[in-house]
Amino acid sequence: MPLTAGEVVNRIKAVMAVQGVPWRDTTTRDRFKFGGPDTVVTGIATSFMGTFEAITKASAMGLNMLIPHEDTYWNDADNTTLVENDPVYKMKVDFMTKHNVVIFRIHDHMHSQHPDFTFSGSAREVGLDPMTETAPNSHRFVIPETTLGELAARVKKVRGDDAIRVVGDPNAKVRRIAIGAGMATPQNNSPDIDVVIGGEQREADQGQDSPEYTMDAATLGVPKGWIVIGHNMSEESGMQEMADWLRPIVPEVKVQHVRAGIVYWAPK
Amino acid sequence: MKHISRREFAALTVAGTAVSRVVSPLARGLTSAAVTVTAAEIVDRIKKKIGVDWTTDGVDTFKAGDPAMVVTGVVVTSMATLDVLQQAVKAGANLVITAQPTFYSRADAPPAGRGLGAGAAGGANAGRGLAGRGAGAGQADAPPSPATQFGPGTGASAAMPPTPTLPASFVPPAGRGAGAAAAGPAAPDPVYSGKSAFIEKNKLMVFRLNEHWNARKPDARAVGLANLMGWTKYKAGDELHYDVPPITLDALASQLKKALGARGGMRAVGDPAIKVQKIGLLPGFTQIQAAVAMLPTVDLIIAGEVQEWETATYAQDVAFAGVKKGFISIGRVVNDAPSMQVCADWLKTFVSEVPVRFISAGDPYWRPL
Repeated sequence: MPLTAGEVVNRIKAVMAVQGVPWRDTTTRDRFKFGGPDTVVTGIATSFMGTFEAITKASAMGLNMLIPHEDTYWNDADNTTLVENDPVYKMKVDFMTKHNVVIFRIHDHMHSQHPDFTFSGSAREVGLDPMTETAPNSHRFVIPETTLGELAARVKKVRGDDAIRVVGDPNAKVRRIAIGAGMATPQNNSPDIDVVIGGEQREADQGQDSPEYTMDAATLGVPKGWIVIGHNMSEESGMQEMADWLRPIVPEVKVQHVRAGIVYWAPK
Repeated sequence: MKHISRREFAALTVAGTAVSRVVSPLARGLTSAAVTVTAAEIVDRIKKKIGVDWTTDGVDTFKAGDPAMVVTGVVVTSMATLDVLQQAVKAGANLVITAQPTFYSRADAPPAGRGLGAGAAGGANAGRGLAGRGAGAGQADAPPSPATQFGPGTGASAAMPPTPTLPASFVPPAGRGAGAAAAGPAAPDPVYSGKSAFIEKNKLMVFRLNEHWNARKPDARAVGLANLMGWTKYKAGDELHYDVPPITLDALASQLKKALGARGGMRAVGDPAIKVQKIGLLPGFTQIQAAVAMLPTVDLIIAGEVQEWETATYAQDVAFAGVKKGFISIGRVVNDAPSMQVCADWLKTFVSEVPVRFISAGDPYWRPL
């Protein structure tokens, strides 16, 4: 009997429940976004997001089921009425129809898992070993003292892409790091955090604006750093772990992580 | 009535000696008390001239200082960082008008844990720092956000393993005005207290002018950017659209970076080699609806700030599809600089008693080597 997308999802739900994460149908995120439970699965790709690039690459590898962490239609709720008149939306949907693609998003339940793969992935993306967390799920790391400038350069080298943004005095002495994943990037005003390395945060006008706080800390000589590597970059690596998690529960087909692609480049 | 009484108060304070030490040499050099002006009077003039109904939204208010004080000079800025405040003091100004917050939040107050976050406008950071503390919520330290709502209260958390005890570091600092944190008094936050002390010592007044300024038509964030780029003559319709001589995305991005004095905050999406001609501006923070409405009609969007997993990945998909379009995010604070330059020029048309100058907060971000 061929493996259907519905069967894959049922197994995900069952294994999650056994591991202490019972399925919540109330989420609008962790649902089918294209295709449905009856679609026959030829292979599975996990990715940060249902980008056109991820869908195309997966399809070319014969993997017609995409399991992205984030949305497919450029808004968190995957509300297609917001984008249905866009020409590229139509191209994307045409491609998915033609290649019998099925998309099932896994977000909320992934963040409920222990460990949360997006955080361990985020740590790996910036060259920190998730096994060296100060405590399980603390997302904290202590490294030998260095400067913010050296740490940021190291992160950039490990990451290998340009569009990393840093706030703070490059000469600030730092050693205590808190990791963020995606928008779940912590503020950096805690007295025992020197640097936050995270995904994405609004620049100002929130409950805590870390960029301005970090600029003022630099003026006052308080050692603080704020390194934002991007939402995509911070969570992509966790989808490799999600692929590893999925593989034993769907032995019939190939399961592979496919990167959603680089979002930004940095103008000179 | 209020207006008059403030003016009278100002006259009294200037006539007396009580506050004379805070009046700069520049103001003392003025010939008579008749040409002095208070911060409250300047703000009243702004309200009358701005051409937008003034609402009591709590955002465009005084964040520090006594508005009845006589103004020695006005500094208009994109963000009232401590560095900008220091420059203002050096320039002899005691009134700072800022587009972005002073005390690191929309509320312009330090976070007080759950109490502030849960009911705060925007609510994006509800309970940040204390979220999940002993409540069995799934994610102890992941703040609920548009992308990451873990749904405590759905019943799921009850069945989950107990939340590990949080390190003390997750208790936010009890800074100025903060309610007592659950874990007892914390040491004052050195950044909040350092900035507050500087403001108090120098008797600065800080007024935020953001929502009403941004509601003005034409949008100064677009007008100011076009001024910097020399695009005013290429305006195609409203202030958000420009039809410029064809240029590669790469070259335009570099010109823009130079014109804005940006460091590491600017980021681009799309093939750097494509030629762009029709430019659309999306000032400030915008969501996907704005980009989807604009990008099909232009070659390039220049935006202030967007969410990466929405608008930026939309632009990524458009580029991947082979459609020759680009997207640039310049950053919200950087976007506010040319806007507040326009604001300073506008203020000068009705504030003649004291000097008005613009000081940029610059680009918060740098890029590692």
